[in-house]
Amino acid sequence: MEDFKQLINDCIAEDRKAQKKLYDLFASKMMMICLRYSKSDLEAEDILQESFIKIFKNLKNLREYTNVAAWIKKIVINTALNYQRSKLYLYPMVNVEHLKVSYDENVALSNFHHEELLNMIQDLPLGCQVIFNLYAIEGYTHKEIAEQLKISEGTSKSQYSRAKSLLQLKLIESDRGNYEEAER
Amino acid sequence: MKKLNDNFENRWKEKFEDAEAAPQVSVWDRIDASMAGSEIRRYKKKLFYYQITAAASILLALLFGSYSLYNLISTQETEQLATTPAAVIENDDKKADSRDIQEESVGGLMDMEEESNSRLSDIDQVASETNLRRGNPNSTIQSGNLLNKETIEDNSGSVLAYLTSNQGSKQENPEKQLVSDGGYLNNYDVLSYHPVSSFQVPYEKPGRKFYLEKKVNPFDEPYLVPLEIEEQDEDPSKLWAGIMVSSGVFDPNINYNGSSNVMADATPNTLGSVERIDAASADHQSQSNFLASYKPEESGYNSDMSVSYGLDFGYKFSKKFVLFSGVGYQHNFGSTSVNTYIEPTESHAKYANHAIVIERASPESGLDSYNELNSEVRLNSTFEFVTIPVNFGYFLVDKKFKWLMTAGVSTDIFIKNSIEDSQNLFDPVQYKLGDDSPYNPVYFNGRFGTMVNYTFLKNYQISLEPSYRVGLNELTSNTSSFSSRPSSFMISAGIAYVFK
Repeated sequence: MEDFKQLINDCIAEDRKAQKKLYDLFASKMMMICLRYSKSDLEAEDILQESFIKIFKNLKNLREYTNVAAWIKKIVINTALNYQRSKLYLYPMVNVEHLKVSYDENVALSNFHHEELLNMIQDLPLGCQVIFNLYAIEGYTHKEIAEQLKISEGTSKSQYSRAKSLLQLKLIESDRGNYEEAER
Repeated sequence: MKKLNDNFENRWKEKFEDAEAAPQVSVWDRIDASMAGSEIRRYKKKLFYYQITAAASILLALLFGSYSLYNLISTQETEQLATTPAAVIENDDKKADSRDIQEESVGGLMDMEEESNSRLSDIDQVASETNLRRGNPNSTIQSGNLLNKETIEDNSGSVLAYLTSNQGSKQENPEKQLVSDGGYLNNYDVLSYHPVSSFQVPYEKPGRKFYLEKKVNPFDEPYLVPLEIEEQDEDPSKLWAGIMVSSGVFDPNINYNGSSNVMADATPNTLGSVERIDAASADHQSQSNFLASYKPEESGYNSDMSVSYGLDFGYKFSKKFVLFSGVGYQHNFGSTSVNTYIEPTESHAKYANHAIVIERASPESGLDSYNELNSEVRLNSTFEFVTIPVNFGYFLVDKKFKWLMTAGVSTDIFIKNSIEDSQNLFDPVQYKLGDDSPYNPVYFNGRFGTMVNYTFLKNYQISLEPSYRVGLNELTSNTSSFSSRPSSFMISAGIAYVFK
């Protein structure tokens, strides 16, 4: 812990080696988050770059060293949202009709590598993609998402519902989607 | 955050919980380059500030150094002249001693004993050929600060001073004799009767004036020290009078307190969309119901343009302070708006239904009608005052160009307040001094400002003064349904004649 504290202090002092070390510690994990919120590797790398510049500039404002990972993750998510915000404004999210998928929701994911799942997420329409990430993976409520993205709670719910249906379709189409019940 | 109790979401979350994807190496390179770039920018910014600071410091040091050096040289020269007998005014008793001192004298000073006889005729000639000027014996003397920068052999840029015996009966002021640019000792009487010696008083530029002040050395021998006269004010006068015109913004700061007789029992207007109520057709009950619910509008006043003009004078009662006073007439404008009006039974007139109007046009005895207008009507209010300011000014700069900070109190005597609408729909209302008006006859303002003025043609000066005034007490009386403590920001311009 002391070492980590020292590392943060060195980063604040703009020690480039320490900054690289901190980057190496978190880059891979944060890159995956960036990928979830983007459509391509290039976009994800742009977001990652921007995020770490913000992180290094704002480390001095960090009050506690205990939760640096959560703080970094939050900055990355916010940067990703800002990155996509202009596109979201361009294609504003509206209530969408729920796709009628007549199968059980309990689709098994165990047969899928996370890269395959990532591709499915990236293939979602941008609004659905962002809201799916925020709701299903980050664990935000629809109310929090609505406030964050300046949309209505209903829009968030309907976009999520659509995302969920699209993902289920993709899982079935991939021919490896099993129902959890079948697994049992 | 919501609870993750849904299987679908949980499975996705678990799948990505520890998922990682290594970014390209180039990402760090870009971050590194970006951070380096911002560091360079920050460094350049800092460097720029350091450069500016260094340049300013050097400039300040040079200025300070030059000034100190100048002062040092001046002081040394003054001390040298002050401690050196400029000339000796001899008498028989002190002849021997004075000769010793003369041997030490410098700067072209000549021995009176040796030279006076030979020069006497020359001096008389010079005096007769020169346009002699009389000095100002009341001018203050600033000790030291003699300008003695160069030795001028041909006498240009120097003044010839003549020493005189203090025994001369016709001297007006033997202690202080004025010497001026290109001139000679200005006291013809002294020059004529008691010239004893002369010496050069170098000066840096024409226009400088010197006094010769007589001092006595430890041997009780008199000698003269040239002292520069402090530059007097371009305008030495102490009294001026003129006219002043001001323009600015006046805010009556009106607040309604609802304490008038009219509104004492009034409740908020419950009539909703007001319709014309005719007393003739309304029964007694409906009229009294209406009066109970009737309330005038209370929209506040907007600030508007104001002008004032008057006579003023200034009296400089000390070196740094001046007293201003005078008398002026103020015309202050304000405006508000209404969208209802009333026709009181007793007056059979139309009055804007505004609290400030109703203060005068009270409908206590009943209303003929109460009407709503299609659009708002602007009510213009004009306040007129006679104002008597008493202000003090402190000179920050007191040359031909003057800069003063001013502060004081002005007494405003209320003359009248007229309220008229812009479309002449209603009967005007006026509150005058002496009437039973809601205004106090006199109220006081505190004011502060800053004034610049410039003297021209010797006897005239123009001035400009932005100032802020605020009421020290209420303009309105205690019985009024509203209170007012006006404030205003004015810019005054004036021209004055300077008495000399």
